[in-house]
Amino acid sequence: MSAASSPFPSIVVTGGTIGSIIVGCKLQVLHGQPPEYRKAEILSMRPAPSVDDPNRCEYYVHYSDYNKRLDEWVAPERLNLHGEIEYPKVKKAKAVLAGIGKETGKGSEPGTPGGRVSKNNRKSQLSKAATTGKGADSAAAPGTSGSNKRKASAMEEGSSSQEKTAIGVTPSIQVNGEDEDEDEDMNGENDSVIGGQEENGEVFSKEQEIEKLRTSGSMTQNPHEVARVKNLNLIQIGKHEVETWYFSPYPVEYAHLPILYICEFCLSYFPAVKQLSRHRLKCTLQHPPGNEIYRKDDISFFEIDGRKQKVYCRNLCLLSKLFLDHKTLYYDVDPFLFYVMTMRDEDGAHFIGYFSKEKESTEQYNVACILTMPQYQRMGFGRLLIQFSYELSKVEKRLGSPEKPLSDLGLLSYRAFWSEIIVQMLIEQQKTGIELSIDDIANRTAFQPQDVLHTLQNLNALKYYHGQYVIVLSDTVIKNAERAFKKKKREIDPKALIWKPIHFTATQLRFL
Amino acid sequence: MKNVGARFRNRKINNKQLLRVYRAVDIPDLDESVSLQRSIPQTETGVDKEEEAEHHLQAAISASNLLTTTGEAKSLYIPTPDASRKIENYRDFYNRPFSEPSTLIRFSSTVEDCIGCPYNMDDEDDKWLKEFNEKRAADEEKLDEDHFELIMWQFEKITNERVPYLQLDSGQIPSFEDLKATFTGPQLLGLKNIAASVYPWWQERRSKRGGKVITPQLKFEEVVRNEADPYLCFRRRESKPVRKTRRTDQQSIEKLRKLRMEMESARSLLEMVSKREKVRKESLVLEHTIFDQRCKVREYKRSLGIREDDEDIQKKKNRREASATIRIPHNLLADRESTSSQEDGRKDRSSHSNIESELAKRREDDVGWEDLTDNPYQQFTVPYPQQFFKILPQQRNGKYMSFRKRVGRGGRIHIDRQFTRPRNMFKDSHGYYDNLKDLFLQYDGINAFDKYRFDDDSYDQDDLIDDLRDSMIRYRCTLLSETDLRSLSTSTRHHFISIGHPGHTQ
Repeated sequence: MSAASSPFPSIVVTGGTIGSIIVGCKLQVLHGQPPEYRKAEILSMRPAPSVDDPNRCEYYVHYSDYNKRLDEWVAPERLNLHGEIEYPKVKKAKAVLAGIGKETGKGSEPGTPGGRVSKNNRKSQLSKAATTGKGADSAAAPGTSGSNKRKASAMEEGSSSQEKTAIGVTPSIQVNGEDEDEDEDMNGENDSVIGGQEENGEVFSKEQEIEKLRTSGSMTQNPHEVARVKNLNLIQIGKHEVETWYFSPYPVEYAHLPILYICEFCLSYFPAVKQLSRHRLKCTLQHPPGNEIYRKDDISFFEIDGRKQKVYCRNLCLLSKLFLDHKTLYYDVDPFLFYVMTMRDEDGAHFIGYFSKEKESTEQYNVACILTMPQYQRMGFGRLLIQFSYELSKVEKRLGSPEKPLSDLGLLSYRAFWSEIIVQMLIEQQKTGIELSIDDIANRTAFQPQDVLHTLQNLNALKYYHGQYVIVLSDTVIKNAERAFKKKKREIDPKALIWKPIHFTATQLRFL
Repeated sequence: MKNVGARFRNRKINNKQLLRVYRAVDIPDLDESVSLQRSIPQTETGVDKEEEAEHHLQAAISASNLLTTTGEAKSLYIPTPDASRKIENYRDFYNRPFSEPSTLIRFSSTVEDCIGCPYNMDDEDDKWLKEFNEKRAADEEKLDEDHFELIMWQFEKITNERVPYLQLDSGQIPSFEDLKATFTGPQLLGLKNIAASVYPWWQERRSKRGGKVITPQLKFEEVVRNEADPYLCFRRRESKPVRKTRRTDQQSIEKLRKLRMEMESARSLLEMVSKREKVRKESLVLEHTIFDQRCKVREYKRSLGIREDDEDIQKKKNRREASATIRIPHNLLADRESTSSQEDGRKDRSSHSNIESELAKRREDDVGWEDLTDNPYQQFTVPYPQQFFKILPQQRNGKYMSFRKRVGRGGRIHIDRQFTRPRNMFKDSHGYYDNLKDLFLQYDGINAFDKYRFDDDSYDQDDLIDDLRDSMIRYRCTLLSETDLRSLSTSTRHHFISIGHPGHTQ
């Protein structure tokens, strides 16, 4: 969320202490190789005590104008505390700053030095999941409480026992007052969390306000907030160790594990090596559990029905959610077919990527989600997946398009594929001298007409000449195409596809 | 396209419009500025609006634009987190050789079928198991990992089945005695004893989890509707709303179609009626002129002194006769009846007169009295064989006439008559009309039958309910033999006894 999208004015302070860093504020953070400062927003904090400083924290940051997949936990040393720090809202920031001074001065919370308190002062800031298992942090807030109702709805079941014992400490009157505030917060999104409180806040005394902020801070878990912070860092799948990109709803107990171990054949997940090795002794799968519908060289495609292979497809979705931001796992996998691409060696058919496809698409989508596993990216497998999806559409005698929104990587891959195919075809067509329409291109390629048009525009090929539109292939376009054509790369061989479209009856589709 | 008015308007290009493909070198006279003026609105990328402006995406897009315009190859990738590391000990986990089948793989087993015992022991279990095995005496059997997992899974499975909401009340955790009974089957039976030692460990672990399954599970079910918990996934999709439109629409369309058809047929029917009436009017006019002409002819004949018999007038008379009722001589009827059942008839007649006199006597007694009771008198059922048409012995024009007596309301007696032509009676399926037609033809040279055939609306009904048609009756006759018919007939004598006797005793 950038500052521009916030409806509330922000305040900019130059310089600050590590204690003044709160969730929602923006400052320069050292990033990249070679390291340079880039503006970033703090999304979450978690304690990372060091020998020198038991109150040391790590900060989860989102770099402005970068994709979320580059969000990361950074050490406090990487924050530029001497530069500008942008707070989301004037009053809020002041209140927080004031609160810090007060509480540190009073030392009102034994065992909770001031530097830490500021974090608790903010609501919705500490990811519950992040603090789970680190009892020291939650113990710092004796007022961590709320009604049971809220607890049930806002907290994960697996939250630490300290919080449960803390119920009822806060006077009930205050709890009631908070409830109203928090409802607002739940409705408003991240940015408005700060604003919603202000009007009420003025009625309270400073102490009350601080108490309110503190007590509600660890309790309110705006679900979107939780999902903004990725819950896993690293997975081990097959022989690869892959850093994750986004949040995925693996069981909350596994959140923030150092490594999640995934069996590369059945895609089951384990929190520790012991369980993986035990599982591997028993697991007999060596390829995706479906019918092989394509085999050429070492590449195979397996077709898997979400309804029949629930566990596998759920595992697959959880895994791919780690790398797909816009994928939703809200509903079950029944209405989808999954086409899994594998590469075969002496150990089995290794999962490279997949795409899912609705059994019945109302909007002519031929792909719902599509992913090449990160360890196989930039090797031409994405192109292979895309090509295969259009081969299926050709068999179905339908035009298809990927479901929107596309990710940045998805857009680039599709654009590259579309232009390659279309340019090849246009070069041939140019030799014949026969005119053709956008629909003609669409029908030959199984691309949707709007994708064809999109590609022609990107190629800068649509021109107006002698009173009518024409397609003009520039020299560079032709040169690039010839160069790409010579490059040896993997191709889908339509003859190796042994497949008939599955037709589902209305009743089969109804009970999905 | 040469429309001047729409010169510079951005308009969508028609997908069906034929476009010629050129190489840029072939058309050096291409004016880029015109193309710019005529540029087509940019299609959307399909990327989320918020993300479209992202730094790396924009960089990559401009790099690819550069490639198409100037040919400057500046390969630019969007940076992604690291995925390049590989583990050293892959073989520790994956060591089953894979033999590739020569044909495409067909596979329908599920993951559950392929992963063996779903419980995977973790480090805690491992530690406990090692200690447990160490503590066991040398002569005692050690518990291996597979069996340990089997036992743990059995505990878990049975508990999940029996107490699915254990996490709400951990006090309900099943005791070993409860679980022991489920250790049946070849695999588990032998583990029953050792399971007793595993149970406390399992119970401890399960209690630590607050009664939840030891291996963390995905969250499927919503506690609150539309809960926005990000860990909640794979909800059951609400079953799609039934598309009621289809069936109900189908039904009402069917109804409307039927209604329309009926209305149309009613309209055409009325049209035809009006047409018929018009035609009839014409025919009456014609008949009238014919009559006038005849009159004239007769007058001419008279005035000219021609003496011939007047066929024309004769014919008219004949037709009138045809439409009149045919009188059947009464004595014939009586004869017929008496010959058919002489003995019965005689007896009947005597008993009949008996009753008649009885009734007459009664009426005399009742003079001056009003009978408010239900009239006890009932018509006697005509014996079944007598309900059939009877054929008269006389033959007229090669046809037999048959008749039948019916008793209608209020004792009215109807005589139905019919001409029968035994030869081809079964051949025509529309025997009824043919018979009538014959009737008309018999008396009239012109086809009066056809002319008036549909005049009478009651014909329709007759047609529908006429199961007394000759052919039908004949057919029915064949269903029952003579003896059957006899046994079917109600003997009138029995009626007399049953009805008459109480009357006598009064």
